[in-house]
Amino acid sequence: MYRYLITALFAGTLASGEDVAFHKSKIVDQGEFQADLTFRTENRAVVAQVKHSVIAVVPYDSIGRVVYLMEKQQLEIHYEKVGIPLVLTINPHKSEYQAIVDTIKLSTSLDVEIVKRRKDQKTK
Amino acid sequence: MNRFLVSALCLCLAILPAAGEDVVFHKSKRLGWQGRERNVDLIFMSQQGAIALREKKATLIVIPYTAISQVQYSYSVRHRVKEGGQLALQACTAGQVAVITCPTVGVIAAPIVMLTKQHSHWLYIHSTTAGIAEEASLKLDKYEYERIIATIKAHTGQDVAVLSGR
Repeated sequence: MYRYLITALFAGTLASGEDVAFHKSKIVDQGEFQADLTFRTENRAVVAQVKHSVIAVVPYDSIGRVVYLMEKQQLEIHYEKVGIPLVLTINPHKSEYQAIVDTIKLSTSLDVEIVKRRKDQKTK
Repeated sequence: MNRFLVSALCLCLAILPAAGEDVVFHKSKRLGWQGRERNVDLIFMSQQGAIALREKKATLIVIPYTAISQVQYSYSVRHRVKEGGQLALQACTAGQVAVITCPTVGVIAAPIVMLTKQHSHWLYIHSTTAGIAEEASLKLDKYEYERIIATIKAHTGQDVAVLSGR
């Protein structure tokens, strides 16, 4: 019930043309950094900012797939720029994870793939 | 002879993009958002028409030539005061050996180090993606910065604005 309410709330926010921002999640890039993750409706892009400096802009159209790695608890946004594959890795805060997944679904119409263990990872 | 070599180099740089060859520079550093410097490969991709920053095998940033709005270059000069101070401190706190190292390294060598200057070369690439402005900051190697500026002009057609020392 609670989840549907949250989804409805984000759907309403996106439909009204307002940006959706998350402030507790972290960007993974040689360590983890507190970042602001904003879904900009007008620009149709996800923007990752660390202390007011833009570190990544991912247009919705360029997103190929979104993967949630359960083992690492990380969310990978796979996208392309001029045919070159890039990955934006997010470590979502537990209180924001569901909302981020819902916002991705609503704004990009892509489903989030949930992967328990990567194929390329060696089993101990 | 020197002039001939420079002309030949510029000609090569102008021909390379036309030949579809990538131009790679290995000694640049990317400035992270927490002040960390990371070694990256600066790659001018002729086929894709983009600049890529690659660390080991992972591509960190891709900037299409068409998205570049401005390229700026600046340099800074500073005395190696901190390095000299550290050298003096290490020499004078080296235990029993300090009797020898403190007067030689600490008193003679450290001030010489402090008098020398470090020149840093910076490159700022401003671009726009989906209407949002981005900036990539790079620290260039002293042996590469001239060639990088020439390559930017040859590949992107953008003039590199030279800023006064920051």
